[in-house]
Parts: sequence; C-alpha cells; structure tokens
Amino acid sequence: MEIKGKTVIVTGAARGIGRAIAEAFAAEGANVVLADLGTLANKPAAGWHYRLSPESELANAAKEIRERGGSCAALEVDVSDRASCHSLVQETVEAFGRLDIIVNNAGVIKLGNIADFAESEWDRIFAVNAKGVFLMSQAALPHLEERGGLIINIASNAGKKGSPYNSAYCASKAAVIGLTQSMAAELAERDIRVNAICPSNVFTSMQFDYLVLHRLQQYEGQSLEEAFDAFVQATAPLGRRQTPEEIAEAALYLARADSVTGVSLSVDGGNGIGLS
Amino acid sequence: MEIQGKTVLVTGAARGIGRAIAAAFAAEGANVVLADLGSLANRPAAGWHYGLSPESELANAAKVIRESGGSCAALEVDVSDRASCQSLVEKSLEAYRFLDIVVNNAGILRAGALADFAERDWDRIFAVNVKGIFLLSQAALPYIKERGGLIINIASVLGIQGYAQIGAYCASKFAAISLTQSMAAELAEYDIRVNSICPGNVDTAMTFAHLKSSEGLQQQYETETVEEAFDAFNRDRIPLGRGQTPEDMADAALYLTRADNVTGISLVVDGGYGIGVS
Repeated sequence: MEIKGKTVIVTGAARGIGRAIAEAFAAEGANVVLADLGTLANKPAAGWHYRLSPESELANAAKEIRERGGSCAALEVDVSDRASCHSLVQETVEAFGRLDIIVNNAGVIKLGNIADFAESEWDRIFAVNAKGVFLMSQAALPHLEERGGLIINIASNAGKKGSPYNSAYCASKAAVIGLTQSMAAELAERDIRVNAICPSNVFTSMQFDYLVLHRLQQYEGQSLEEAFDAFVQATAPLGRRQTPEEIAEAALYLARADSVTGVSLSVDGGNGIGLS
Repeated sequence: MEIQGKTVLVTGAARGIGRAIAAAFAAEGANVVLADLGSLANRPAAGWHYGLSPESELANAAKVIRESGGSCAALEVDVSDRASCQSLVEKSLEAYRFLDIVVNNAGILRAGALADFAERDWDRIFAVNVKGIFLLSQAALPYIKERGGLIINIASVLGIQGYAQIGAYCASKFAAISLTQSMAAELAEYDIRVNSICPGNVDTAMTFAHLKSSEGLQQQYETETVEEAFDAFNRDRIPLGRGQTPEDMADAALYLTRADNVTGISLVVDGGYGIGVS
C-alpha cells in the first residue's frame, strides 16, 4: 500500500511505540490520528496501578508532528469502550474523509502470581489488550476503504510464549495473535490485511514506570535505564533493546507489503528465536 | 544496516526471486554478486528434472542490472560443493574487497509421493536447499564477521507445515528454518543476524516446472496452461487470492537488512496461505 495520503489511526499514540509509529506514518505523508486516553485517564474505570498517559502527552505528541509538517489530529479514546471506539472512528472520518489503516497499540500490563492475581486486573488487561483490538477493528471495518485496508496489532513476544508472573499479559497477547490470524483469514476477501508486530524489550513508560521496578531488583544501584540495558544484554541474543523507531519501521514495512497477512513479525533482538 | 556500499552475495540469482533480490540491492547502491550455476548447470551432477538456469540467464541478469546503473558481478557456483562455495567467496572478495550479506536463495524442488521418492532426488534436494546454506555460510563467515553482517535464507511456507506429495522439499525447508534459528543464536555475539523469508506461491521457473510436473493441479482446475493453474490455485487457496511476486520477496529482504534488531525470524510473505502455521 502506498502510505502517502492515507489515514491512519494509532491507539496508545501519546508516547512510546504508538507515538513512534504515528510519527513514522506522518513523515511518510499519511494523515495520522493520535488516539490515547487523554482526559479519560482520569476516569476511575481507566485507573491503573502505574501512570497512564496524561492529557498533556497526547497534545504534545501531536504538536511535535505538526511542527515537522505532519498532518495529524489528537483524539481521545478508551479502547475498552465500544461507544468510545465508534466515536473515535467517526471523528477520524470527519477530520480526514477516509480511513485506511488502524494500529491497535494501546496496552497495559501487571505482573503477579496467578494464584492471587486480582480478577479486576485480569479483566482490565483483557479489556484493553484483547477486547480493545476487537472493538476498534469492529468500529473501523465499515469505514475502512472497500478494498485494501490494513490492521496492525501490537502484540508481543509474550504472546508467543508464556512466562512466570506474567500470565494475564501473556494470555492477552496470545489472544491478540489469535485474533490477528482469524481476522486476516476472514478479511482477506476484502483485501484487508491484518498483521501483528511482536516487540520484546522496548524502553517505554510501561517498562520504566513499572516493569523494571518490579523485575530487576538484582540490579540495585544502577539507574533504571542501566538496569534495563543490563537485563537485555544478559537475556537477548543481540544484547540490545528495541527502540520504538524499530517497531515503527516494521509497521511501515507491513503497510507496504501487499502480500503479507496474518503474520506476527517479531522485532526482538533474537529473544524469541524458535517461537512461532 | 545501511545498504549503500555493502557487498551482497545472492545465490540462485539468474532468475526469479534471487534475481529480484539482486536487482533490489543493486538499486539501493550495494555491490551485488549474482551467483548461479551458469555453465555448471551442464554438469551431470547438477542435472535436474526441469531446466535449471542456463549460463545465458545469469549473464543477462547481470547485464540488466548494469544497464540500470547497478554495480554487480556474475559468478558461477554449485552451492552443494564446498570448494565451489569457497571459490565464490574468494572471487567476491577480489571483486569488492568486503562481504557483508549472503542471501542463500538457490533451491530446487521435486514433488512426488514419499513411498517411491527416489533417494538421489532426496539427496540432491537436501544438498542444495539445506547443505548449500551450511556450506556457503561457513565459507562466508570469516569475512562477514568483519563488520556486522547478515545472512538471509530463502525458506518457504512449506518449511512451516508439511504437505502431501512434496515431502522432501518441505523437510528441506524445515531444515533451512531450523538452521536459521541456530545460526542466529550462535552468531548474535558477532552482531551477525540470520533470518529466513518464507515465500508462498511465486511465479518463478521453479513453481511453473513444479506445476507442469503435477498434472493433477491443471486437471483439478481444468486449465489449459500452468499459468492458469497457478492463478486458479491462488484464487482458491490463498486468502488474498493472488500469488506473490519476486519483488515482494526483495522488499522483505530489504526490510530484514535494515532491521538491526531482527534475528532468527521466518518472515512469511504468502498472501495468508500459511496463516496460523507461522
């Protein structure tokens, strides 16, 4: 697919991977809708145990794209809410007149033993990570161009292999990969392609506001970032973290790869070698 | 990895997927060695059930790249022969001084029931499709270690799931994927990345030779020509309803080259044919 002139919705676009994807599509001449919680992050229902993206980040991400000459809009969404997804799609079509690509990137994580993992947290992880993909895709489908649309789901290597103390997140990301394959098979007749990207170690706020703090006590004495890099060096074959920009490169490749559908493209420094 | 100025060795480069990959790297400013059997195709040992690429195709592929301003050399290789692989690497270094990327694309196919599949056909398929990767990678490794490096193996969606009547080819491509994973794990410490591309159904000489040999497909779809059978199969069996192109594979190869954090993967470019098996 030619990217220039297309309209792309990216959820979770205020920061991290979503923001880099939004920037990359804008730089290629797409109209980009940056969607994130914005003020909705203050709603009790959206509350979470680490800091979700505040309103200011979303506005700032859009401002920087505009300053570089990109075409974008910043809109609020809670992807776990059907009405919110529909209104996001509606506003997008009103703003740019068409919809071609959605990037389901919004996601949350919480570690914990399966034995006493809170049901409310299980539900929220699945509501955002898995049902959010379902709801956003369902809302977008009637508006995607009649032929040739694209859905990119940001899954994770955690969706290819379970790991201890991360059951809910792993299961939710495995569900995203299953959904990607099912939607790819189902939507191919409209020439809509559906693919997943599986990052492994990206230093996003999900990492530095939460994961590193809870996983890497053995690296006490280092900064969070040093601890993270030491962990990646010790565990990933290529020994380095992935950057949000590398995930964005994968998204651009998938956007242009007209013969690729149903795949889960790992960008993981070799962390998932052998996982399918 | 930045592609401009790098040296890329592509096997099976006289036609089809290899040729498209060679052309794509040349267009991005790489020095490309197009390697294929050339005159070696006439040797009995290299003989096969369908026409392997003749000398003229290799020369012509290089000529077309040069005419569009690309930098390339055409060299002969039999990837199943250790000495031939080593000589290819040496000649590439003589021509371009460095070697950065190896694309193991040479491959052969023969369909047939395993019950009476000829042992010599089995051996030849594994010699080219699997041992060829081992031999050429081994020959290239001392040199591509010098400044990072990348190995891309052209496997197949048939390397992810087995199918009836094509068992030897499937098994060889499974082996290629496994080799990709082992090499990726082993060579990561040198910052050498190793990835596979798994094409689905591409309109190459190999595909059409295969379709001709499996008359069942033409009968099944009641078509006059293999080209029509190819299109009918794609409409019937591939979710996106179309075959893939050599250029699709070249795009995947360029992505993998630039993706500095991607190693050990099998990138499936198949129109959805293998959904869920990958």
